[in-house]
This record gives sequence, C-alpha cells and structure tokens, in this order.
Amino acid sequence: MSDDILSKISASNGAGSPKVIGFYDEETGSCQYICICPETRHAALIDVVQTLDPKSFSTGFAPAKWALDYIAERGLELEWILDTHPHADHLMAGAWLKEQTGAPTGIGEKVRDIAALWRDYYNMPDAFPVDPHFDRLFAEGETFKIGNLDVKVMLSPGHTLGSVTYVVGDAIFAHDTLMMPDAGTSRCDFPGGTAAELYDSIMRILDHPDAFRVFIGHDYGTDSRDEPAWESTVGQQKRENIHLKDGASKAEYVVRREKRDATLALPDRMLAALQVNLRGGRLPEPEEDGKSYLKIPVNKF
Amino acid sequence: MTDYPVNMGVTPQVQGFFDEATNTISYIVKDPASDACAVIDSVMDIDYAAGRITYDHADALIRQIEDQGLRLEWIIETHVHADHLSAAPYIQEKLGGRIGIGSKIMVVQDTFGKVFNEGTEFQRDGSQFDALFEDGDTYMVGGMTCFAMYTPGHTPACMVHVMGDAAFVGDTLFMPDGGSARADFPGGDAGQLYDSIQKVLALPDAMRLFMCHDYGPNGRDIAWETSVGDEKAHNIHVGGGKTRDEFVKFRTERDATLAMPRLIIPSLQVNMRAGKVPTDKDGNPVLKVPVNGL
Ligand SMILES: [Fe+2]
Ligand SMILES: [Fe+2]
Repeated sequence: MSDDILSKISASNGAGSPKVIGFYDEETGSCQYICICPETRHAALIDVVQTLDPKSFSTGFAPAKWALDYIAERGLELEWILDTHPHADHLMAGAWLKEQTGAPTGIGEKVRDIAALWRDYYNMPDAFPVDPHFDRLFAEGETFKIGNLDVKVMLSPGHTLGSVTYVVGDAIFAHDTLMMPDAGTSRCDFPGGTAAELYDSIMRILDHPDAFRVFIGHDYGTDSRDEPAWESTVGQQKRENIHLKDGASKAEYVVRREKRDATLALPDRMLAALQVNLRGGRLPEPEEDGKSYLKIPVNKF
Repeated sequence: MTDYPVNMGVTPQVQGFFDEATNTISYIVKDPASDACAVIDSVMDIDYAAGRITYDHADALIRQIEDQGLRLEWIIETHVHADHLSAAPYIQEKLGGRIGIGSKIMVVQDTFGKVFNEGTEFQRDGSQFDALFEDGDTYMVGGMTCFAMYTPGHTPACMVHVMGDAAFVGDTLFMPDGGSARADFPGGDAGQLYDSIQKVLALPDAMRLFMCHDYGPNGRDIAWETSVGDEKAHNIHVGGGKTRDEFVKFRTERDATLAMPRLIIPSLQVNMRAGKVPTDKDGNPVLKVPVNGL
C-alpha cells in the first residue's frame, strides 16, 4: 500500500539549503514533505495526512507510516512535526506522529482564532482549546532550527486566517497559497478566508529571490498534465502562474478569485477535518462505548 | 405462507419520481376510485460535504399531489434506507398522512442505536412512526385495500407493499437486468433475501412491480417498472429457477466487493428516526458520526 505513494526528491543546494522529499496523497491531492538538514540529518515533517474514508469514516496512517519508514531507513532524526494550517480537505497526522516519535508539533498561533470560528459552527463552546494540542504555536517572524537549517515563520492568511509559511533556507513551504503555476492559487472561501489577504500573502512569498524553491500544499494535475507536481520556483511562479502572470491588480485578482470560489463544492472531509485538526489531529475523546464521534452540523453551510 | 389479500382487479395510478443523486425512485400511488393517495420512499436532498439539507425532490412530489388535488393518506417507507434520507416528516408537515414502516424497525433501531451510541432519549420502540406493519397487515388508501408483506434480507425490517395490481418491492429485486439488492448491511442475510424474493415472485405474473432503485446497468435508460412474470423469466440473479444456494453464494461474493453507500451514516441516523434529523442539546440539527465504527 505505502509503496504506491508517489514521491520526489528535491536536492539541497548547499549549506543552509534543505533536501526535500515530497510525497503525495492521491485521495486528497495533498502534498506532504520531509524537510532534511543534510549536515545533521535532522528532519521535519510538514503537512502529513491522516487518511479518512468519507463514507465509512474509517481512518488510517499510510502516508505517515511511509514517512516514518523513510526516516528510519535513512537514519534521520525527526525534530519537528509541522503543519501550515488546520486543513479543510484532510485530517492531519500530527498527534499520531508525535505518539510514535515524541517529536514536538507546531502550527501558527492564529489557530486559536480559527478555533473560535469553528466552535460556533459546531456549537461546541468548550472544544478546541488549541494550546494543549500543539507544542509550539508560531508567531509571525519567529525563527527556529531544523538541525543547522534556519527556519523563518511567515504568517500567510487568506486561505485561512492563520496559515503560516515556513521558509527553510531556500525552500518555501507555501501550502495553500500558490498552487503550481499551471493551476493558479488556492481557494479562500472557507471560514476566515479572504481573497485580498491571500493576494498579499502571495506577494510576500514572491518577494523572495527568484531561485527559491516553492513547495505547495495541493496539486490535482491539470487537463494537460496528469502527473501531480508540487515544486516550482519563485521566478517560475512570477512568470507563469495563471492567476498572476498578466499582472492582475489586487482588485482584479480578488474579483476573479471570489468568482471562481463561488463555483467550488466544499471538500468532502471538511466538517470532519476541522474537528480533528483543531485538536492537532486527535479524534474527540471517546464516549463510554470506547468510540469517538464527530459532529456534523446540519445547514450551517 | 401467509394468505395475502391480492386483488388484481384494482389498478392504481402510479407516478415515479427519480432522484439522480441517489438513484432512488419515489412514488405517488393514487386510489383509482377516489382522490386518496400514498407516497412511497420519499427522498430528502443532502449535500453531505456541506451538511446542507434541502427539499427539491420532496417539493416536486408535494406539488404534484397538490396540483392533482389529491389527499395524502399514507407515507410509506419500505425499509430503513442506507443510501438516501427520507423526507417523510417534511411531507407529513405539508400534507398530512401517516408514516408507516415494518414493525421490525425496532431491530434496526436497536442495532444502530448502539452503532451511534444514542442516549436513552432515542426510543427503540418504533414510536417515531405512526404505524408499524406486521406481515400481512392491511390498510386503506381511499377505497383501495393495501397490504404489507414481510421481506427481510436486505435489512431486517424490509416490507413489500402491495396496492391492487401494483407492488412496491423496496430493496429486494431490481429490474431484471439489475438483479437484486445487497444483503450485507447489519442484520441483512442473503438466504432470507432469496426467500423474500420468492414471496414476491409468488404474486400473480401480471402484478406490476415498482423498484426503489435503478442504476441503468450497461448504459440503458433508467427504468423502474416491470412485472412478476418478467422477473421470474429474466432476473439475472434469481430468474430462470436459480436455486437458493446458487443465489446465496453469488450474493455473498458480490457483496464482498461493494463499497459502502456514500450516505450510509446520515441515512441510517435520520431514517431510523422516521426522517427526523437529530438535534444537539440546544436544538441545533446535527449528525453524529462514529469514527472507525462501521
Ligand atoms: Fe488547506
Ligand atoms: Fe436499501
């Protein structure tokens, strides 16, 4: 099963530049990463998926296991389990990965505000305390290390109000801001998202040098490209991104983005995903029968 | 075998309404001698991803009943569906009528009450319904005597409803080229399904049969009406004298390959409450989904 996972290696460009293993979750089109310090062999996992069958609501950890196998086989040391935002299209594997490895989890501090929004949707006023569920809640501009690599955290709202971008040397983990140049940019119509903020966040990402690598959160292929892809460069994005290349103004971009978002269906797993992801990837506390239950609010969307 | 009051001399008018989202056919059945009618297996629309419930399909049924000046007396569920949500309470609120289902609903409520860890406020005595039918029970739609035939197998509470020369088979048989319904849900049983199908096939050859589902196998157009004679001769799973053992083996093997219906969790949870959406302690409609529980 885990042998079927599509993965690609992006080599380090020298000192301070990570080696990046991208691997793909076919079901949700999610791009997940192992970010490696070549000198120390320390690694971080970014945006790893917990699988969920949206019919039976059974969960699994095939991608997370694939990543842990990769790490074990190469003798890497897992230093961080990172997410860029509470995803709406898939469950995250953070809590499980922490259980397996003891490595700390991290996400942006504004997840606290995202949790407040969703408490209302779910009518669960006491749910999602956030702080106990993550080891680190990063603020804009905060820095930390993966081995010898410098990581800078950039707040990148738009897709959600609390998404963060991790800039690790010359690698930008841009999650759901940009997509591949031939696919454009991410949607902003989930609660707390705004197209104007997304535009600004994208511009801040594109302020980096042209040669910086951009690793994105989702790819579904396109009509003319079957194979999923997730790596581009800042230069490529500036020249070729179909939502940006004609020099669209912010106002034009916002109009286009909102028009397109109005045509998109909600992701199958959204109402399940937020409930789990705002708990760091944990299922709700089991009821007395030992099973965990999710609440799907009716007619809130 | 129970002696059923078959009366081929009464020919009700039957209108089918196909729901594309779930491949379900709902019916309005009109008593030929009056303006009384029954609705069978109505559908409530759901956008599952958004948790959004709407009533376009039910509204179309309601409009037909109103436009034709009919009086709705019965809202029948052939069983607790696992693939679509029933609109019975919505239709009842607009048009009246009594909601009826097989008395074995209690078995289904017990099973899924556990699956969803329902509290004691969820009654498992069928009291959410207005009528609980036993095998052979009769009821009237206007002047037309109708009866329910106990046909377990697909679920433990399945009943075929017979109204004059028309039988509503629920999920027992499909069209001859579609075969039969699956028997692998909790409480389902392929052998029982075979026996139930034999009960249907023991009805007169000319009896019109109306399906609950059709998927247009091999690219043919959607269809929902056939006859006992046709099914006996041509049904690909049970026609031409297939034995019980042959059927059970085939059915069991086939069921092992089938995925769960997309809407199984919301369907069961709502339908075991006669189509009412459960609410949280503040009265907000909410579905409760067991993780790794099915
Ligand atoms: Fe996302
Ligand atoms: Fe069914």
